[in-house]
Amino acid sequence: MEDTAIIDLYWQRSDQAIAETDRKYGRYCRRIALNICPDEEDAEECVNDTWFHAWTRMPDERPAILSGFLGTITRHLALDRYRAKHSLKRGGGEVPLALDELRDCVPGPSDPEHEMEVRELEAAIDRFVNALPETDQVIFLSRYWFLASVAEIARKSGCTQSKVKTTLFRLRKKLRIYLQEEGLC
Amino acid sequence: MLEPFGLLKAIGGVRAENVRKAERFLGYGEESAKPRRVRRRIGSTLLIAAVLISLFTITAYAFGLFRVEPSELTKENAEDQMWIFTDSEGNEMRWGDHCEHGFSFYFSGEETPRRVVFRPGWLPQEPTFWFPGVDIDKGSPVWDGENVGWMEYLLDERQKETNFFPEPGIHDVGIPYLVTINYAFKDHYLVFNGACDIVKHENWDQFEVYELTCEKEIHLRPGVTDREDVISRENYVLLFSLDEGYMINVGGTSDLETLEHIARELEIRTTDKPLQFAPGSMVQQINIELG
Repeated sequence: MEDTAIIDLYWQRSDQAIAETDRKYGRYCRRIALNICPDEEDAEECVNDTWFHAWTRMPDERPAILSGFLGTITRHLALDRYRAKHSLKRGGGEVPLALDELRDCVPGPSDPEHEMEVRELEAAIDRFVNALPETDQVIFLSRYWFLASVAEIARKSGCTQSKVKTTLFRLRKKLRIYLQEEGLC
Repeated sequence: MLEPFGLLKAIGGVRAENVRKAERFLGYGEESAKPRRVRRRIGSTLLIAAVLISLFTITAYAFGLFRVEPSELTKENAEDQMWIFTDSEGNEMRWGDHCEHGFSFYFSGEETPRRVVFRPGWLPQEPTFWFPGVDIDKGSPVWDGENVGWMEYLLDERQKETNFFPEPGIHDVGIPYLVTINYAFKDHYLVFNGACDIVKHENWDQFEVYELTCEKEIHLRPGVTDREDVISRENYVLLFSLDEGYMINVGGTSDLETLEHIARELEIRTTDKPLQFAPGSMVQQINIELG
């Protein structure tokens, strides 16, 4: 079913909306959730919560790219669930590794009294990523949006893991400089 | 103050069309929950395989500004590089034939690199030669026994055991270490003369690193002398910067642990001077005695 037709089902408050969404994007959202929450039960709950959020937000919203809309919801839910359940320095999966890598981009531990405006930071990162060459965009987002492993990215690109790590290191360095220049870090 | 988890969450705000590119790259995209029955025909399967292979090649090539890969040099894609030396008696000797058992790195540069300089942080013993003699920025001596400046070439050359007519066996060519810089230019091959083995291949932050051992036979010209072949054993630690298109070669007869120590302690800087490269040949041999 086309995305526009699925979105119409939400707007019509049809009880087929979630069934069709699950049929088309269920595996996609589960994959995103599993990359973040290796526990299958947690991942399944994230996906179910995604359908709930989608039902709540449509209507009013009519997303241009449904996969992006749903995937973003799943990602946020999965990260929040991970943070609530695990110490960020331990535990399996890609999240602790990605967080260790992203320390390159940030100066130190959080200070809740001076917490960054989320929207301002999101907009800056969006501008940063949008300005990258497409190949760099794909590697950066595969790792830090989808939390895919370095091994998986290397396999999909036909490069060595060493090459992927080098590229990610360079991009993190660039991001740090960009955030500093924007006054966000 | 920004912290990693906040940054990770904020990355979720990237626009959907860019996320979709990564989604397609990973193959996470739209998948039917039910398996579809597929009728396969051999012709279409081969066509799909050919398209996938070409897409894969394009994707792999597109990653990174410069690309390096070990490859076998063949007679079809390289000149026959023979250095011919003549001794005081007019006898000729040739140093190796890399087409027989060569090992090459192929640079396919798309941009012009900028000149790179380095400064050693640790050396097993003092060098015997360095270039330039004068710091390119300050004008002061690059090495005065205490202070070390930025350089492009560094050599430790001790008294050589070999001469033009060495005794048979493994010989020390008398170069414990040599640090040089090679740059990436389109269709330019960097070649090792001799049989090489990759001992280690890893990533050091911005460098892709290869560690090699190399045994090179020195073929003496038949009829000139009745000496048997002699062998030079050399080690190399190669640091490839794929972003900036250069390779730092730390080679020598020292063991790999010593050469790796030198390499790890190098301070490296890219200048703003673009490099004009006009090689005599597109195949350049980079063994230590020819550095």
